[in-house]
Amino acid sequence: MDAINSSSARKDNLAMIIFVAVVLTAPLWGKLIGAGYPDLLQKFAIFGLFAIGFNLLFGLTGYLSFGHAVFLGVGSYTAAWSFKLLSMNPIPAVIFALLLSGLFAAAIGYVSLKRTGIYFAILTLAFAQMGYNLAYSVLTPITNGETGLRVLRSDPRIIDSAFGVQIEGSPIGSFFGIEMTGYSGFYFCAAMLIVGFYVALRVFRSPFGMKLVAIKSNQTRMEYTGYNPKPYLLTVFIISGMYAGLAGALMVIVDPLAGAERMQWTASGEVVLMTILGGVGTLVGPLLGAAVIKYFENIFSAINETVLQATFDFLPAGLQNFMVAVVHPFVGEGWHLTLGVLFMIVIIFMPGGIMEGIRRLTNWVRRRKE
Amino acid sequence: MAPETGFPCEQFYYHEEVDKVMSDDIKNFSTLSRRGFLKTSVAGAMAASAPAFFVNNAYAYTNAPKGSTVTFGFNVPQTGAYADEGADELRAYRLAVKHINGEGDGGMLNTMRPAALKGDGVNGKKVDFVTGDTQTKSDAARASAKRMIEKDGAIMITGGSSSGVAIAVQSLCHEQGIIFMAGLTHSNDTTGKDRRKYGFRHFFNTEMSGAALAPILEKEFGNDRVAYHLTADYTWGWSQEGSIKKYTEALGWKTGDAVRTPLGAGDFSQYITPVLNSGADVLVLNHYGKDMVNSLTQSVQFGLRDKQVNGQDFQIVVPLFSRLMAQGAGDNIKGIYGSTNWNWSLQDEGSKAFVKSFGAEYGFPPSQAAHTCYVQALLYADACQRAGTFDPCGVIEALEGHKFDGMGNGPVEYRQEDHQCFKDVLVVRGNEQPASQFDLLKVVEVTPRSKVEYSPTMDGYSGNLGSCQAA
Amino acid sequence: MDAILIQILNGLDKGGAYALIALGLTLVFGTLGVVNFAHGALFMLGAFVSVTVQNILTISRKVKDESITFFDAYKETPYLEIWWGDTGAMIIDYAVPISIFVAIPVMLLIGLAMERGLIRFFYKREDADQILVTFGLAIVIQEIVKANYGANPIPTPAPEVVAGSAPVGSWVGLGADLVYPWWRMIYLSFALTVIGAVFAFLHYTTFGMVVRAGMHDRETVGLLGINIERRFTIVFGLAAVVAGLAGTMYTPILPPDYHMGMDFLVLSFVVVVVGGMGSLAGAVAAGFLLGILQSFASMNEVKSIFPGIDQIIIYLVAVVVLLVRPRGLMGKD
Repeated sequence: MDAINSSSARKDNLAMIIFVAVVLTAPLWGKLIGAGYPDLLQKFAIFGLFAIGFNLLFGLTGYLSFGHAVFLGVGSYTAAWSFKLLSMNPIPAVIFALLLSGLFAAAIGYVSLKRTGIYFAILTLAFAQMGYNLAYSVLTPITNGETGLRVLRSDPRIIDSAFGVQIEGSPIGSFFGIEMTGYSGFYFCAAMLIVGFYVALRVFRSPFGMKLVAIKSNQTRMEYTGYNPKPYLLTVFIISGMYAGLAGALMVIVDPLAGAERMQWTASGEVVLMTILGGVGTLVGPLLGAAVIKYFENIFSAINETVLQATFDFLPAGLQNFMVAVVHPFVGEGWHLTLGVLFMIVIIFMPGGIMEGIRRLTNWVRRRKE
Repeated sequence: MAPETGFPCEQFYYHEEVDKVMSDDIKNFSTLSRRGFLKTSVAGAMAASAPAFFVNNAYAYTNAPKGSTVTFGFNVPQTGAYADEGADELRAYRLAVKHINGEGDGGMLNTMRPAALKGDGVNGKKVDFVTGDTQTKSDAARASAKRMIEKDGAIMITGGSSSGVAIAVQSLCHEQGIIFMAGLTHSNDTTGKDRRKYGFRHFFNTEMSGAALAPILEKEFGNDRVAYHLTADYTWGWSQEGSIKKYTEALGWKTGDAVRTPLGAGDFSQYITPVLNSGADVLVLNHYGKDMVNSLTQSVQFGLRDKQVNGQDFQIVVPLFSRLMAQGAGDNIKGIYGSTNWNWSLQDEGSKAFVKSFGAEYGFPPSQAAHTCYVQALLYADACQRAGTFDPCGVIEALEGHKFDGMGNGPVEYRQEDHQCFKDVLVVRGNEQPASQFDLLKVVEVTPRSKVEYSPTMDGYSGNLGSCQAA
Repeated sequence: MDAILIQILNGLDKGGAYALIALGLTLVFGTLGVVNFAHGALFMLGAFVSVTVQNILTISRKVKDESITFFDAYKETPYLEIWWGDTGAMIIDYAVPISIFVAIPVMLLIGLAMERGLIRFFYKREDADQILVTFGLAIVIQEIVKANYGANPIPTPAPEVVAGSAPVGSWVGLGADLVYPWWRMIYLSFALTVIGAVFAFLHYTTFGMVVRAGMHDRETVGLLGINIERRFTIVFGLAAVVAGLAGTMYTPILPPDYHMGMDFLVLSFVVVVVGGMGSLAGAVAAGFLLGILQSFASMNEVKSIFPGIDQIIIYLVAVVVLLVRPRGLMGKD
């Protein structure tokens, strides 16, 4: 699934079918690893989408944006305002989030793409940090600051009220009557993920994608051949920003709350880490990276001493206590440590991330067969 | 059919066959949020399977406990700036669970009045718990709470160390039909404009801090003062600044400048230097956590405490004190006034019982965060026991207007209108002569409840609880 | 006038800290070509050297507080004070300055170990790999510190004589209201000294010249048959020492906690890039520039015209500088 190895359309179709099957059956296989509950599956899909979009920029062109979270935030706030002013239907929220994040991406991209390398990274970082700091403080009338923008029953919602839709209790996103919580929320995200993955696949295979890869390998040479790389770069930057905006909108659709912290540099850094961990420039890698990080954040952090005691209950008492003592620093409040160790191990032994590991594994299996 | 008000029929819990058949549907349903549930049933959209119909009767509320245990969800910061506070909260919760289940020495179970708990669990079920990391971020805290609700079947969520997070989790719990017992959250909004039917706060708030501090400030510093505020630039900071302004201005103090500082500024020098020749003679630091430690340390370095302005000694006030955080400021807190929800040095029966069992278990005294969390867990369990059910509507009814005593703060009432606990407030001073490493705060005044009480519909504080049925 | 003067002082002080942190980062990037996301962690480790030194100096005889029966509470008297009286107390008082002498060898060792054990395998790897591995390392270091020292800030006061403020105003005839903390002035002079020493080292020693040559053109230097690898190790060690010292000396201003490195990480990258990646002079200039601008932006007079300007000034300046000067203030193509 490497961008460079242009494979046949049939192979792509097969990959797409497998991908759809895996995504749609997530509630089933999720149970096996303790991730089979709607919120985490939603996060897998949303951050997967975010990372796939980020990888379109970083993986194809090599331009490392360190401020992609700003689009996540813009998407979130837009969706929340769409919920507040127009309708609880996710469709307008998605459309407006795409438009507005695209607009922001166009503006930020236009300026930032004047520079390359680390200078580009810092420009994007600077824009995102300005967004975050302002959203947290002086823009509170728009963002509701630290508390986060919430959707209230008393909001106007002109479209909904025109159709006489009444909200009882707290407003929840509603896709023509289907409430966007729980598994129905997940399937909405999953549908978006599948669309996003398909678009990414098409971009990877398109002449446009090839040109982007050419930019990565040698921008100067490309300029000599008469291509001006800027429009291509800006286009992919906008597409990538819209993926982030869509992810941000989805966060609000399944859980109507938008907070400034989504724009903080740590959030931008997180998507960078997800992509590198999974495998830069691969189609599935970023998705895997996103899933691994979210899994650690939600599942490892929840393992406390009591759970450990129960897990090692089958061992004799002394050994049980020993195992608990050994494992304990790495779970619960120590989940960050595990994540850090994981980053190091993966990148030391598998340059190219998890996908590299998978490739090596399949090669090894193949060789064993022969 | 009104599934929300009727208490569940117990016999269904233990019907294993039904359990098995239903388990999958239950999982699907419980994730729909209670409100979705209700709507479905009201709309009569019972076209779902027959077992689901059963479910609706037997499991009228989210995560009704099955089997012999009931699960509490402890959602505390385990990473980030408040990790130590979160760790202390978790210690308190473990202790609370022990006591509720009849292990250990019982702690405040022996002193709380009235007490329905008998040390044999709640409603005949043993208490089990799950934990999660809020990271002091709204998104992470909500994700963690959702995990506990959707995956682990938690009946109640509690904990936290920040108002933004508390408000975010509180509204989530309200939507899901799960009771939220707030941990350390001091902003008025938690039980003010963002109050929720499913949310309860034992901790005090900035309004109470202002009301409790003002008389002491008057007594110590007089009426002729000019205050300069440095305020953390987010909701809690503004709330704190507003309350202190309101009460000090009532004393006749003037407010000089009120300057907003970015959260996590680290170096506050550029905000402190303008104080020097502003003509102000009191500096109010509306900061908490690391910001408080840094701004206080640096203010003292700038010689503010050695200054004379308008013929009076310059003073610094830190409205919200926490012993854990005060440690970080070292000697700089000595002699500084502030307020706190509880301190381990209190000598009432409840405090002594709690400090004793906490100290015996962990070897050091509990923080105010630990205290409020311990009390919240006990109060919730007690309310369930009194209501005879875990049905949140019943439990809410049992908590609203509940008056209790013997839990470290004297007589306390959970006010019905806003779910805020009303109790005496402690005014403390950084201890000049600490007798031990834990003896950092000295209680100088216990401001009685009557002095800190306010109307639930007061300007800027009124909100809408919503109802238990249609959250 | 007073206000402006004092904000300049604030700015210089901030700038000193920024420059010191950025110096090591840019040195490592310029010579080794490594984007080191663990640089903030080095700064934090330096700060914890002073915590550790203070903890060791204040190992105490504990006298149990008998009034407390539920747990052990102690009144602590450091052994140094018991043994040596006032001299002992003075040694404890000087914990932070003493830490400097401990921090130099400790940070050097940590730097060398980090380079030999990990960083050197990443010279030829892509930026992305460097970012992930050093970020992972930063998290691991941070968590180890958290496990040992907790998450709360730890007070590490400056020596008593310099804990307060100096009457700067009366020195220059501007009134007694104008005071400035001694320690901040010490920090500024210290920062300038360290920066000067690093520059002198790179300019006036053969070793430094080779390193600078390597910053310009690594391949040629390699072709000359100079063992550049060993020099890289030392440069990394040097960067670790500078970052560590910046942290050690900063502790009286900012009581250290395990997360302080991350808090400074982004800022230090901004400083380095604004100065021009790999440019030492640029990093120093950018540090002072950003420090001073940040101080002025925080003045009430400025904030009343541009609300929130103090929150974004650093990033705003970064954007403007990078648009006007593509390679930062002093970067080379």
